[in-house]
Parts: sequence; C-alpha cells; structure tokens
Amino acid sequence: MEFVVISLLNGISFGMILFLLTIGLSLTLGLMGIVNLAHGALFMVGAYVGWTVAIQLGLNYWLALLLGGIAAGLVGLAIERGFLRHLYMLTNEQVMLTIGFIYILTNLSLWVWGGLPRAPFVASALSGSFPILGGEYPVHRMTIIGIGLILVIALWWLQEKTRFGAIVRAGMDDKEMTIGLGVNLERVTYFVFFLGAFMAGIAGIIGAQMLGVNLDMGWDILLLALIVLVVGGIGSIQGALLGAMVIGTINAFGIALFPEFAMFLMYLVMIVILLVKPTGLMPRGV
Amino acid sequence: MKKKGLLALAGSVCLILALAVLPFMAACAKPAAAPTTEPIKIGAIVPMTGGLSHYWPHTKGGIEVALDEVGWKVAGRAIKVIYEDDASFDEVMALQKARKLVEVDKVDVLMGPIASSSYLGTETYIDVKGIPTLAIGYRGELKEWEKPGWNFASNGGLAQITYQAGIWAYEQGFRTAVTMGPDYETGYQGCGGFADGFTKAGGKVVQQLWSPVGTTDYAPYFATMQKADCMAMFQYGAGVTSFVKQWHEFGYWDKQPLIILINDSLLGPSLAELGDFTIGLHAATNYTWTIDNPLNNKFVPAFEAKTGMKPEPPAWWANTATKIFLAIMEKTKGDTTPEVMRNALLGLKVDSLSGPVTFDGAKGYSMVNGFMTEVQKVEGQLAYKVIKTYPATVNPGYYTKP
Amino acid sequence: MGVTKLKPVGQPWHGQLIRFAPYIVIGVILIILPLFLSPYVQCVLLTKILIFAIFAMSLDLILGYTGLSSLGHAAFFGVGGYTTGILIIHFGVDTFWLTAPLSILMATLFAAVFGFIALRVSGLYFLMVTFALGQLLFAVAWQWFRMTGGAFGLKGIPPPNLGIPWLTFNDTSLYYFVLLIFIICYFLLYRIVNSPFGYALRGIREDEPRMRALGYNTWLYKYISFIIAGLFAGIGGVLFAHWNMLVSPTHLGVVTSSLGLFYVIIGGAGTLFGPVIGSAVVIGIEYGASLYTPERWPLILGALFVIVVMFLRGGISPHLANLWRKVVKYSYGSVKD
Repeated sequence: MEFVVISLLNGISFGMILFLLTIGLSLTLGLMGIVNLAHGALFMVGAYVGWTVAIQLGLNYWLALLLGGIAAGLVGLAIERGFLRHLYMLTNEQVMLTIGFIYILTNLSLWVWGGLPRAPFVASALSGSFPILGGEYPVHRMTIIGIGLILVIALWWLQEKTRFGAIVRAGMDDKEMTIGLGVNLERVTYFVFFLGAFMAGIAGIIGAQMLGVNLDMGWDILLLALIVLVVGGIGSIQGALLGAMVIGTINAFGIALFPEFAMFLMYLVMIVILLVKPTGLMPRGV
Repeated sequence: MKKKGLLALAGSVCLILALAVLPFMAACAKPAAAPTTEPIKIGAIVPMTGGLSHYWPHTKGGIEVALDEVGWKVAGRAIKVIYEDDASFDEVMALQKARKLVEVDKVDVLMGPIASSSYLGTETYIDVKGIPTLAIGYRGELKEWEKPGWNFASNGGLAQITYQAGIWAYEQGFRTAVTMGPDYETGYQGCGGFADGFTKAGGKVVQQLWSPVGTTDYAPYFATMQKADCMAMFQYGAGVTSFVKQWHEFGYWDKQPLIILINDSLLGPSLAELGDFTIGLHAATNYTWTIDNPLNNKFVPAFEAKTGMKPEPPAWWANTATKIFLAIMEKTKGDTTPEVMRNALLGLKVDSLSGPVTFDGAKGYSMVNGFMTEVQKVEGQLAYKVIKTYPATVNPGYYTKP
Repeated sequence: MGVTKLKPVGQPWHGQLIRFAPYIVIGVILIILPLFLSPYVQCVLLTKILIFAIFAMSLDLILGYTGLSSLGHAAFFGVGGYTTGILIIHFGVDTFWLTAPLSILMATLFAAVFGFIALRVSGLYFLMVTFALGQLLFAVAWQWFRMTGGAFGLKGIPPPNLGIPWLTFNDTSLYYFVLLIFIICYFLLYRIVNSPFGYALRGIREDEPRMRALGYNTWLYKYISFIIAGLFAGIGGVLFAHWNMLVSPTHLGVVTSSLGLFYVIIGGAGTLFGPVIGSAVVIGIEYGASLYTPERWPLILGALFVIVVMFLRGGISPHLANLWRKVVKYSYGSVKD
C-alpha cells in the first residue's frame, strides 16, 4: 500500500514537470507547426539561470523562478524569431537547426557554468518533509503537484475562457480563416512561443528540486517530452497533461517494479501508440 | 575555344588538388630523430567537455603542480605535456586522440583517458603499439590485469576501496545493507566490492539496486527498497548529489545511514551546495585534501594558488600518475625506450599525496592507501576527514552483475 | 546568337572527360594521398571520413532521395558492427568472407523489420518512431552484457582476415581496403539513384500523392529504399568495427544517427557526393578544432549546422556543383556551332 501511494505521488510529481515542459512544445507544434527540439535545452537554461539567481546570488527563490523562466523564454523567442521563422513548413530543416542549437546551448552552458553537476535546490519555505505512511515525503514534491495544477487550470482558463485562447484555438484549426478574419495571428503566435519557452524554463527550475542541474538535461528530458507528445497528442492541454501523467506514472512504477526494463517500457509504449493511434490519445480536435 | 577549355580544366584540377591537399599538409609529420636532450613528451587524454569536465581543472592542476616541483625537467631533459579532449566518454574520440598523440606528436608516454569507456577505446591500440600508459583514475573494473601489458593502473582499482568500506560497515555494527549503483560494469565493480567485503566480514546484503546511467530522480527506487541497517551507494556524475538530497528528504538519513562508496562525484563544492546536514556522512576514497602528511601539506596550498580550488581525487590521480612517470624517468636516466620504462615500473614504489604507491611485481597493478572518511567542517568548509586508513589495498577481484 | 544545335554523341573527347573529371581527380588524389601523409592522418582521418561517408550516403538515400527523415539510422550501422564483433569474438568466425556478408545481412534484416514498423507513419512521427527504435536497440545492447559486452561494448576486433596469407593489415593497407569498398559502394549507389527506381524515389520525395495517382506503390518504394539504406549502413558498420577495434552502444544510438544527419545536410542532401563532402568537412573541422579549441568543438559543430541550414540551403555540394558547372560553361560555354 505504501508502495503504491508513494509511487503514485512520484509519478504525478514527475509527470507535472513533464507537462510543464511539453505543453510549450505541444502548442507551438499545434499552432505554428514548428518543431523545436531545443526545447529540452531551454529547460536546462532555465534551470541554470534559476540556480545562479537562487544559489550563486542568494536571492529569493520565487524571483529565481521568474527570472529563469524569462531567460528561457527570451532564448526560445530569439531562436524562433531569428531562425525558425525563416524555415516555415520545412520540418527537416527545423529538426536539424534545433538539434544544432542543443549543441550550442549545451556548450555555452558548459562555458558559463562549468561542468560540475549542481545539487538540487529548493525554496526554503518548501524544504522539509512531512510524514506519510510510516515514511517521509518531501514537501516540495507535493508543491510541484500543486503548482502544476494551478498552472493547468490557469492555462485551461486561458485557452477556453479568453479571447486570446479563442484566437489560438482558431489558429490551430484554420489558420487562413483566422487571418482572414483580421486577427493578428502573428503576434499571438509569438506570445505562445514565448509562453511555451517560459514554461520550459519554469519546469527546469521546479524540476531542479528533484533532478539538480547538469549538462545532459537538454537531451535527456527531450526524449521524455517527445514520448509524452506522442502518447498524449499534439495541440491540446488535456493531451499534454494526460500524456505526462501516463508517462510519469509508468516511469515511477516501471522503475520500482522492473528497474532494468523501465526504459524499454517507455519506448515500447511510444511505439505501440504510434502504430495504433498515431495522433495520440487526446490531440486537438478530439 | 579548345585551348581555353583545356586551360580551365587544368586550372580547376590544380585548384582542387590544392584545396584537397593543403589541409592535410598541415598535419604532415616530420620524421623525428630523438636525441636524449630532446624534451620528453607526455600525452594526456582528459575530459575537457562532457559529463566529467569538472575533473579537468583538477587533473591539469595535479599534473602541473607535480611538474612545477621538479622544474619541468627530469634526468636532464625538459618535459612537455600535450592535452587532448575525449569528451569524457567518447571512445572513438579517445582512440583518435591517442593515435594523434602517438603518431603526430610522437609522445613518449600517455596518460588517461579517465572514463572506462574512453579507456577501452584506446586499450587495444596501446597494447599493439607498445606505448607506456599511466592511468588517471581507477582501472579495476576491467578484467585481465594479471598481464604486464602497457597500461599501468597507477591509482589502484575501484573495488580496492569499496571492499574496505564493506568491512568498515560491519565494524560499525551494521549487519544488513542495501547497495545502489549504476547499471553497468563500473557499477557492478564498485558495489560488488562492498558486497564482497561486507559479506566476508559477516554481514548480509539484502538487496542490490541498479539504476540506469544518468538517473537523477531516485524516488521511484525508494518505493521498493528494503529496509536495512545501511545504504551503500556508488555513482558517478550528476546522480550523487540528487541521491544524497533525496535520501535526506525522504527521511532515511538517520534511519538507514548512507555510505558513499566513492566520493569522486560528491566533491567539496557539491557538499557546500547540499548543506550542513551532510556533516557526519561517511565516504570511502583514495584521497581528500585534508590528509595530513608533509607531501600533501605542501601540495594543497600550491594547488590552491594555481587553480583557486581545493584539490579533489582527480587531482591525486593525475598527480600520482605524474610522480610515477618522474620516478620511472629517474630510474631509466631519461631513457624513453618503452621496454626500459616498463621494466623500471615493475616493483617501483612512489610517495604520493596519500601515502606510498607500490607496483606489484608482474602485474600492471598498484597498491594504494584506502580511506574511510567523514564529512566535517574543516577551515570553515565541508570536507572529508580521514577516520580510518587502509594501507596498501589490493583489488580483491573482478565483479559482474549478480 | 545563332541556332543552338543539340550536340550529337560524337562530342570532343575532352567534353566527356569534363563530366567525369571531378571523379577522376579526386579518385587519383585519394589513391596517392597516403604517400604524403603520416599514418595518423591517413588511417584515422581519411579512413574515418570514408567509413562515415558510406554511412552518410546510405542515410542520404532515404533522406535526400526519398524524403524520409530518420533519427535512428545508426541502428543498422551498429548492427553491422556488432554482428561482425560478435561473430569474431564469441563464435570464433574470423574470416571476412563470412563475417561481412552475415553482418550486412543482419543489418538488412533489421532494416526490413524497423522499416515495416516505421513506415506505418510519416513525417514527424516517422522521425520519432525511428528514434525510438534506435534507442530501443541501444538499450538492448547496453543490457545484454553476455552478447554485446554491455555498456563497454566489444573490444579487440581485429582487422579483416581475407584469408590471403601474405596480407596482414596495417594502417595504410586498411585505408586502401576501405577506399576500395567505398568506391564500390559509391558506384552501386550511383547506379541505384540514377535508375528508374531512383527517379521514382525522387518523385515520391517531391510529391507522393501524385506518384500514387500515377500508379506507383509508394509504400513499397519507400520500404525498399529503407532496406537498401540499411544494407549500406551495415557495410559502413562492418568497416567501422574493423577500423575502430571496438563497437559500443553509442554507435547504435541517437548521437551517431544525428551525426549522420549532420554529414548529409551539411554536405548536401539529394546528391551522392554531398554526404561524402559533409563527412570530410565535419570530420576535418573536428580535427582542426581539437588542435586549437577542443572545449568549444560542440559549439562550433552546432553553429556550423545552423549556418548551413540557414544560409547554405541544400548543403555545400550543390554550391560546389554550381561552381563546377560555371567552370564548364566558361570553357565550353558556346558549344553551339
């Protein structure tokens, strides 16, 4: 019993991080048709900047969260405005370009922050654990779930209840029509891109509470994000959340039950979904 | 028309020839005669980029302080060091750099690479070419150390240290243990050593957990972990600091004391980041800067002056390898013939920063001091203090996945 | 001005020569270069370039000619290498005439299976399936210690044993051996891409629905091209195993696959010579960077990639080909009367 509860908590908290990371990727892919494999690197950049602000400079954790997110958002926006937007519809080129940026961002991070992996860091208000079922569980993992839920609701509200959200949805469903109706879709899409990158940076700092900060994060988390995208479907918040929860929980239970095959399990799930329901479980339009 | 065409053709051919050949001409090596007053060249393959890149400044510092002490000369010849990057784990690159150092730069001796995977890339080549190679880092997780090949394990083996930790754990009163390690050969060696020592002393290893390389979130493993008297953890890279933090967060710190089987990835700065709760943590190692002997007391300030950091185990690895090299050269009086160098090595004894390092007669092995340490505040910062010394440890064996 | 007559078959002999001149010149260079170079350069650099050129060309077959982006092509390269290693080390089969064909066969079989799975989807999804399959194989190689040597791989693979008593390989002879195989592969691929099959592939890349409307079984064409690509990748893998003396899981995974993409894109997708140039340029710059700024090599590689994708659209090869055409035009500009 204890095992199930703890694993569930682990799975959901990790899944929340995946969700925050993947939602940006999902929306930019669904809305703009842009593949940005450097998204994982943005996760890493956000985490490093957050680390600098919170640990090196010793400033307020929540400020670090904000600044890290903004840093990731700006880098992401720069990649989009400077490079990706010239590659409209050229999927292969986008893939290549953004892989190139993974290399660039990782090496730049090495240059700036050095190679030593950084310890996980937590807001002082969130440090500490509470007793559960005979053991202890860290407070910050619960707050990851909490923060994640708040952001899910906020995003959902944004998507469903605001004009901005309506424009985004319309743009995903029928781009020409939306532009034809006089909507400045371009500005909206840039903001979506920034928002997505910002979320990735936030995910990086929140994730750093569990994972620390290191140079492999760019690739490692990208693999998981792609799996979440495939499983959950592209272009919808529900899809990203569902995919993230599925993968997070499979990861937690898989590692606990068959540690050596946990990785296999993830790839197999991805392949099965791709063959049976290629668009994912809850893509936009479902 | 025709003449113009042929001219263009000829011109293009020349252009292509020039373009193709020029870059390669740059790499052309001149045959080198080697009179005994020529500088001795050391080729060091080190992780300048990649997952182990934080070892690089320590490695460099360790080598250079050792050479500073002798004025970069030995047996009347100057010494030159050439560094090459192997991206930490890339064995293709490691082999490529080894070839470059040997065939283009014509080095007399190689040092490194550090990671086992990189090292494996170079092993066959080194044995075929017959270049004396001094290891930087442990070399116990690979088989076939009984033959005196060209690769010398200057820093001892991995299980040498962890085995002692197993015995020590039993002496502390622990009777059951769980081990945690990365799921590949180095992990099996590290945890295997502990399991062997602990079991031989009378304890019981109730569970051995293996995580994929690169794991940073250990929470899922805690869910199925069995309770025991202690947890022996072995890991390289980013996972260690996460593990220590998570072990504390999930409340195991006091209930199931943690023993770090090798502290090379839980360096001083990482301890500082984790915080004061790490005081009292025990770790097995071959080196810590707090070791109190004349050589180390001289070394630490010199290293700090050069790099701005306190030296960590990679500094000891590199420093010892360099000292061994210098000792060999003293013995051969500057003769860099491979056979002569190897003969000088067997049976050699060198004073390293942690104590004596002795090379066993016929094996490519070295016996080094092992230590159990405890994290304490030294000079205002968290560091490892020696609480027990195990002199002249030897690799107890080769362990595979149980 | 005047009327431009179509030149009949009887062109002046140096007209024909011009067309093949680049090949001849470079072929000659490749053959005599070792005489000037140190063993390191010819063995490590040139042989590495040729081996990865074969790998890149095989990837170009599906990427450049058929329009399929794969992030898992190294799987077949690795299978070729591992099979050779396993046969030699575990089964004691040491003759090249057995290990090579068997390894190539294995690579082709894997391509047949993976291709069947992957071609159920297209575009970005195809990319992700191929990536997942490649990583799956990586994980298998990592775990299956007894067969594959686990994380450390199989080491001690000797040079090819051709069963010729007086022939033992050293750096130079291995280079020529690889060069020979490279030329054969190039020739074979040249015939494939310039055959009706090859033209059909190009048609599929340009406009698949149209090809289907024309009655082509596009899935079958894509499938066959995937298998052929896997076959040639396997050849590269066999040579790699002998040259590197070690095969490890890295050579099956996404890092090697994406390096393949680099070679193809930088050199020029959709041309046969492009991947060769891409391989030479990237490996050459890698060597140069290692001499001066080893710590910044990944940054340079990434930047190179970005620059090529943004500004040298199509890669280096088409631009070189344009240059060459201008040269030809300049000398034979008015072959009109």
